[in-house]
Amino acid sequence: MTSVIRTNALVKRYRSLTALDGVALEVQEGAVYALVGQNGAGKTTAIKILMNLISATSGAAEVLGTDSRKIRGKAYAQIGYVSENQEIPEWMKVGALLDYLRPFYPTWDNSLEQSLVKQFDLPLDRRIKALSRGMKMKLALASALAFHPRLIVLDEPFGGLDPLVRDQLIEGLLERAAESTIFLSSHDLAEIESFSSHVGYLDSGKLLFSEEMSSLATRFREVELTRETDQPLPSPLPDAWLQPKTSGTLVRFVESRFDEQKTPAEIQRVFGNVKDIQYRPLSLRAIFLALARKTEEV
Amino acid sequence: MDQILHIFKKDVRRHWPEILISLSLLALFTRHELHPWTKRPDFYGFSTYMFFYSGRVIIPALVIVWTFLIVRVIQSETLIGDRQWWITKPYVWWKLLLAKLLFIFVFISVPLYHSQLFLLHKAGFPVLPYLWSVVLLQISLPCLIIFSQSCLLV
Repeated sequence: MTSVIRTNALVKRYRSLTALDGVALEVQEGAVYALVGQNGAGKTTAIKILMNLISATSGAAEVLGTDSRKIRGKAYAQIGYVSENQEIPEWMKVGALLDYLRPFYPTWDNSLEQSLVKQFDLPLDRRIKALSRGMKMKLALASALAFHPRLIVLDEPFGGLDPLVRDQLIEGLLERAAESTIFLSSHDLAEIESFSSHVGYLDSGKLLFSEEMSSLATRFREVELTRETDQPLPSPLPDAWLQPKTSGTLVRFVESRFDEQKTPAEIQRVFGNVKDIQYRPLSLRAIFLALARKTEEV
Repeated sequence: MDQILHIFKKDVRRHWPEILISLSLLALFTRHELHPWTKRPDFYGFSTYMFFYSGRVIIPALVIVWTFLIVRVIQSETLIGDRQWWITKPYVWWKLLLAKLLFIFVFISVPLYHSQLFLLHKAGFPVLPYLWSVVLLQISLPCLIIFSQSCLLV
């Protein structure tokens, strides 16, 4: 499979602040890749480097087989970029903006444009200035989808939007997912979980993991076990066990390297005999929180 | 060429009020230049009356309006920053540049050129021998304004 995005040891420094610290990620064609992380983790910086809006301090990034530093002009005819920070020309009317954009893209699809306008309920004769934030995002997305981009890049597309608008945006995106690769950053983990195929977790500029959503769901488990006697937690616990908590004989933690054979054996080694063990799958939000709290503790 | 005209048309749609003000001021300037009070002996000396009623105020106003118009048309696609909407669209930079130059040419240089030729003609000078000199003036004026703005931006 072809890589649509590939970065290698990507570093971005702003004086003493390191926004990205050796990020290496790969996004395969057809993937819906979600880059998650706390505020200030470096998600927007990574996207800006990929879009050649800012330059990296060191390292390399490739987008659609082109060095990201050379992404300009016609290269954007294959990339649909939507960011919450973008300044859309607010003096234009919705219809005028779409009319204006149309000739820039050789692959612009008028019937798709019309269906997106209908789907997103966009008022063609209203000034963009008068639109709500959700409407502006829908307009930006419609204008980024109407030309069948090979790559759709979305920077925090769902931030501050009501659930209805979010659903409409996701629906619009999913309908295009078959023909495009989608790369997005977001805090909205519940929404991402519903449609992403891959996820990358960025923390203080470092990519802690980048993998398929299904393998992530398999790897993380909430473990709850009951010991025979009430004792303090043994120390040290394995690094892969996050947020260990104890209450009487009950112990609960998040296993970040769950394996059907190895995990029970590891529990046996650390705790000895236990009465009962339960493994529960975790939502992306719970995984994210466990990782975020772990890094906060460090 | 299509993209140049496309950007040009968008700029005209956006900046028509400024264009209208600029053309009106130029028409006023031309009208005042023809008025006999330019031949009064106190015209080049300072007097409030002469300043406001002789049309001499129009020249600085015109320069300010032109400067404003050029800044506005360039700022439509701002070069500085990373939040501009247009920088992730398939613009070709030299076409964008030509679209802006075309705008300045059409709405500043051409009207001024015609105004000056008209004034030469009205003053009794033959127009043809001065065509090239007036063209040079048209080129130098926007260059001067753009250069001074670029220096300010840098």
